[in-house]
Amino acid sequence: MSRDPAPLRQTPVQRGTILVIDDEPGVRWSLRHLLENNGFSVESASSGAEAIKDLKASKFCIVLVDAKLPDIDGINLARRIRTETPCQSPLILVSGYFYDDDAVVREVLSSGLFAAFATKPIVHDALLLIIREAISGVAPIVVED
Amino acid sequence: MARDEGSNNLSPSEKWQEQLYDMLLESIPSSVLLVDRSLRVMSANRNFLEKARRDESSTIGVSMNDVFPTPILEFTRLEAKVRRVFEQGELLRGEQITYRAPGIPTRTYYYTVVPVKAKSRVQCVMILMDDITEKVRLVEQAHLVQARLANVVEYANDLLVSADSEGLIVTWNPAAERVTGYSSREVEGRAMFDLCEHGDQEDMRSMIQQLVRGQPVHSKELCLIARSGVRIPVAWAFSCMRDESGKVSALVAVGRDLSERHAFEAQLAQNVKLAALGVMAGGIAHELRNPLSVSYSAAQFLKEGAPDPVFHAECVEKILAGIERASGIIENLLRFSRPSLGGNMKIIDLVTIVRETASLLNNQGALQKIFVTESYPAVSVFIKGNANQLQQVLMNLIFNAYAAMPEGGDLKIAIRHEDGFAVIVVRDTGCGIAEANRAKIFDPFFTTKAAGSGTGLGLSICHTIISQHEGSIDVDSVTGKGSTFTIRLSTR
Repeated sequence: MSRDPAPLRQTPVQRGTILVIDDEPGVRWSLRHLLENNGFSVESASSGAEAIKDLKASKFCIVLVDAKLPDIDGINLARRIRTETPCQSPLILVSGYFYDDDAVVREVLSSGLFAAFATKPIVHDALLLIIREAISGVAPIVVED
Repeated sequence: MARDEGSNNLSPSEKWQEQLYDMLLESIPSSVLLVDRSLRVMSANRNFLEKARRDESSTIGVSMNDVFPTPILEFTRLEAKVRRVFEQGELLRGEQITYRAPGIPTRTYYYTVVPVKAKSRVQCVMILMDDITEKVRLVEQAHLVQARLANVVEYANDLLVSADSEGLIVTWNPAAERVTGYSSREVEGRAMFDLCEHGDQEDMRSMIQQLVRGQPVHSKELCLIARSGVRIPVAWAFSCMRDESGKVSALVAVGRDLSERHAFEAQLAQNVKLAALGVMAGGIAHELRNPLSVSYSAAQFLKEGAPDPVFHAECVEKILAGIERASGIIENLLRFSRPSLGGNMKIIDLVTIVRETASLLNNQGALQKIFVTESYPAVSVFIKGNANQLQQVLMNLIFNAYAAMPEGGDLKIAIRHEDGFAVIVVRDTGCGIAEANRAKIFDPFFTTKAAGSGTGLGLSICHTIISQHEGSIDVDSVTGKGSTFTIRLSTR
């Protein structure tokens, strides 16, 4: 008797929500499409103040932080996130302002303030990899269906 | 004068003469002592008695050896010298005695032993003593001052040059030797201007001429050429010395080697440039990479194959817009670094330009509920400038003012005359500029606007344009109350 082939085991779908903090509408547009296409929910903030408010209200599995915001720079915002909000999720610095081994970048990575750095223009696969690594490095936010 | 009694039988004229000598001896500021052949004091004038703190009774008729303190006698061997004058009949000149006695301040005397002859025989000797204590002290002091001055000249870090009234070098201190490599001997007698750089020789020559004529000369930077050929910038300060008649007899020049300072200034300017470049590079990176990133993302979506035609069109749109924005930033950057000016400087009426620019932007202001007041002089204000560029400056300032008043407010645009300057004032009642940002607003790429809303080049372009018009642009601002931009341009 032939059996129907067992349904393929689905790969785990990542359903965490990512907060994108960037004042550039185009960047928010591209990140939303990229991350939503890859199974994440996306919320976004266009300033430091808005981000702090969001982080006090909701939980996010990853926070993508732009280096230059109209009201604060990304590094100071990260410090405020750690002191003023309950957020302990990995922060990823996403910016065209720095280069890979920029002294400032090295410092914020080695101090643990940021889990990773991604430069702009954003290479989609590279950013997804960074996000997945950052998630797997912390508590299991990955949820199986 | 106190004297040994002995000559009573004198004629009236002899007596009168004796009285005259007595008066003279009493009044001269020297100590005078007459000693007979048996070395007894025959007479002593008042000066001697006062200086020696003796009275007549303990002096006259007393042996010379009892009048002078033993140390003086031993040290000067005065007795032997007096005896020799008696024997040889010759004057003994120029000896110095320093007299120290308990309770009496040290004094220095200069003494002379004069033979007093009668019938070619020395009858008595006169010991003349001048108190030169003060003179010696002054001489020593003068030596000290001179030595100190010499040290100042010797060890000064500055070049100290003296020259005669022709400007020919007389002295040249070690600092001048060190800085130029020329020894004092090599330059003595040479004209000062001769050591200057060719282009500065005429200036040095005319400064020296001015000094000689007694005219004041301001400090000036003139370059010397060192022996090695190196050009040494020196800041010179001149003064002159005058003789009794008031005529300039010599010139003194003090020069400070500015090489190190100039090098330091150049280094500083370089550092400032590098810092500005750092800010610019960061600004360029941030501003360009944002639109590039959007275009790049859109292209990646298309490459992966966007199935939805609406999303496909959106991606194409994002790519085009991103490239356009990046190119616009580069355009602004070019305009900032190479503002077009060329032959477009003409005599123009500032009032017309400002009025036209303000009216171009009136609609936007009305939409934002901004009340604009304009105030111009009744007559034209002519300046030499580039109308398009000044319009660009005005537009920038007005747009900034609008942006500072999102909830509406008052904007005042005015032109006024002020001491040969045309002053343009643009005043808003907007959010103002935080004090920390005030110094940075003219820096390229400094912006407080959200990404995409401003490149941070507007005010720096304004600054460049106004500088090219040889004018100035300043800001005065109170946070929460508003900002006032003031442009000053010289009128024609």
